[in-house]
Amino acid sequence: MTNAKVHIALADDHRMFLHALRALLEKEPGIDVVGVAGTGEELLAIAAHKPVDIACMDIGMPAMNGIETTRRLLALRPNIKVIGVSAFSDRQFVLDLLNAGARGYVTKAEAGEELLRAIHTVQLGKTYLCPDVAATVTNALLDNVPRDIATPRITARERQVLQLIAEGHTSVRIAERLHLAASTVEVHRRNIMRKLDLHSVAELTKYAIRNGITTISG
Amino acid sequence: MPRELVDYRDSEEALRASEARLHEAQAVGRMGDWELDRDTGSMSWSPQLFRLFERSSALGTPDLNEALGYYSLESVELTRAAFWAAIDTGNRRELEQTVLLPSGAERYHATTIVPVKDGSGRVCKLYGTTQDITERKLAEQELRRKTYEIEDLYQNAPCGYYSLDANGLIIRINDTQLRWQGYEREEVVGRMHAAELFSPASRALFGQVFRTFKRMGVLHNMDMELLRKDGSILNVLMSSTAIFDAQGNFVASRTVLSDNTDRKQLELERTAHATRLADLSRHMVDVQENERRKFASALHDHTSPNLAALQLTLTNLARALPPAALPGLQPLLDDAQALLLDTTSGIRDICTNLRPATLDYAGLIPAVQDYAQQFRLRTGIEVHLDTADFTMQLPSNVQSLLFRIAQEALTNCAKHARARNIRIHLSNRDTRLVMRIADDGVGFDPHHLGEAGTTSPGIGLITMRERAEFAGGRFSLRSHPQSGTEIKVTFDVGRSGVLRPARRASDFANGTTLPTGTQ
Repeated sequence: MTNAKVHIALADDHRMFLHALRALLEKEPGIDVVGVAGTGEELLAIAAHKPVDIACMDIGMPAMNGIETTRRLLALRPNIKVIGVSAFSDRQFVLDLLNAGARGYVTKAEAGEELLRAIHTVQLGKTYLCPDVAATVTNALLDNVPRDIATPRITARERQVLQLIAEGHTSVRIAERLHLAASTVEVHRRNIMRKLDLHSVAELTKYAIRNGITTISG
Repeated sequence: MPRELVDYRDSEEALRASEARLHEAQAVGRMGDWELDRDTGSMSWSPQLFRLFERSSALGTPDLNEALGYYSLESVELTRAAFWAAIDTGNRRELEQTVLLPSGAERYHATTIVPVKDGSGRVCKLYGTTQDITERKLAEQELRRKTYEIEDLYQNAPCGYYSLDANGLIIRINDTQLRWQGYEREEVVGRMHAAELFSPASRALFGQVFRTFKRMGVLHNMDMELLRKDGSILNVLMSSTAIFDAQGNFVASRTVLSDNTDRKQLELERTAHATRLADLSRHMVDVQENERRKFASALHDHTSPNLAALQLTLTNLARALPPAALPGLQPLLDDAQALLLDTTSGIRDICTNLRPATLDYAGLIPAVQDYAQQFRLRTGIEVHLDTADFTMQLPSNVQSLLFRIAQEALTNCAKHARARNIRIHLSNRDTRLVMRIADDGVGFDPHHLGEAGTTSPGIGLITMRERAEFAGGRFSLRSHPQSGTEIKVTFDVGRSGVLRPARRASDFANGTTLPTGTQ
């Protein structure tokens, strides 16, 4: 890679999201947002006139959806790398977007850090799926998606909570320790279990020990 | 003893014996004889005649006028006329009379009148016999009454009767059937063939079975349509028996028809009712699915993009913070992100349960795959979906239905079965679609379903059964304690893709009895 900035175009019909996304990307040193589109048509128009390396594509846009837009965009400019950015993680949406030629897929819930990771990965010519989506897709039929790209990541706070759960503390006790509402601890626990595909405290504990988050101690 | 005297005595004895035999015969035959002197009206009666008229011998023999007093008015006239006729013509006369006895009893007599002429050829005396024929007369009346009743029954019973000769020509038919069909007897008997009594459809059927009937000899309750003279139809049930000669040749047949209109009407109404019920429940499912779809997309549209924007904003905020502030604030930012993530996931689960976007976007199988994936993440139970034998294109309402049943089955399994694996098998042969969902859980005894005191898979099963059956499908369940549970739903999806009722409405009545075997 040279020092040249990567040119990114965004397409999403939700203005608040688009603004936030643009703000995020514009702070990144290697990224230049060259265009922002509210519809698929607008994105095609931008791509026709400006140099675009990567397009971040919403799926659920009115009139022309992200899958159709991707197809047309790549017919027009085959070198553009498309990353799906969608509220949906349903497998069929993901598969259809990938079949239309997209190189990455990130759910909007993970659009911050995950999207930046996706941009860097597809820039290197690889495919990137965020953990949530990867879990869905790797279980399915796509053999050509490497499994190791989808290691779930947990936040520092989630690590803290997981450690305390593994050490046998109740939610109330954990909430006291971390100065949180007990319901927030419950939220963390649910998120951890969902992210790591674990279904019981026993499994959480096992995971924590295996990954050095806690140690077996008396 | 002189020979003459002996002869005389012998003949006198013989005469007495003969007279005794006559009296005996008269008594047995309830018959008496009499004589009437034309000129004096005096009579002589045999002893038996006294008994016939219940007249005491102490009263002596009546004269003609008194004797006539025993008869009914009508019979008096007849008797006088008969006497005069015998006198005038010199020929014997016979007549029947009604007698009113002193006891009040009514009897019938048959009387023969024989005129006796004197030397000049004038009828001077009448003599004759009178027999009590009451019993014969009553028997005759009874016979006439019975015959009338039988004939009346044949003609006017609330069924049609007809008889055919060997060629199928109508040789007898009753009034009821003539009335039903609007024919006169003369138009039918000896003129029409049985086939002509029926509608074209029934005629074809009749043609098919008549040959067999001539061999087998019996037809029982065939559903037939009589064709009235005016062209309208009357639904009947037909039963026939054949008559064979000694050589076993078919010579004739007798048929009875009963009016089947009410039952036919009931059947039509029942079918219409079942169809309406199935239509209605399909419509209700459609309405429900539409509402769920609307609600899910409204919920999604009004929350998910905002939550996503909020999440990005938080990321931007975190990046804008001076690095020195970060260690203290990072956990709080993580908490905020976690709340957002949990809310987003929660809303996504709600939307999927309401109506998975994939179901509309990609159809049943991808929707079940996604649901199974989500189910596995939530419960840890593996779901294997086998659709290798499934080649059908299904209309969206059928897809919704199957998805809902699968969803209910999985939910039920997670709640009650303690299973590790669930296998969903979807297959079809021609237009017949089968979905089996089996788990390797604890199972249960289907005969003790819904008993108090235990958490029961009953409600979920009833919901599935109702969904399947109201849409015209079949539902069966197989389960034994410790050997898992398998449900099976079967639909006949017509060529048009519309579910065809496989059962009648009456079959729905047996509520919660769950068949345990497969068919």
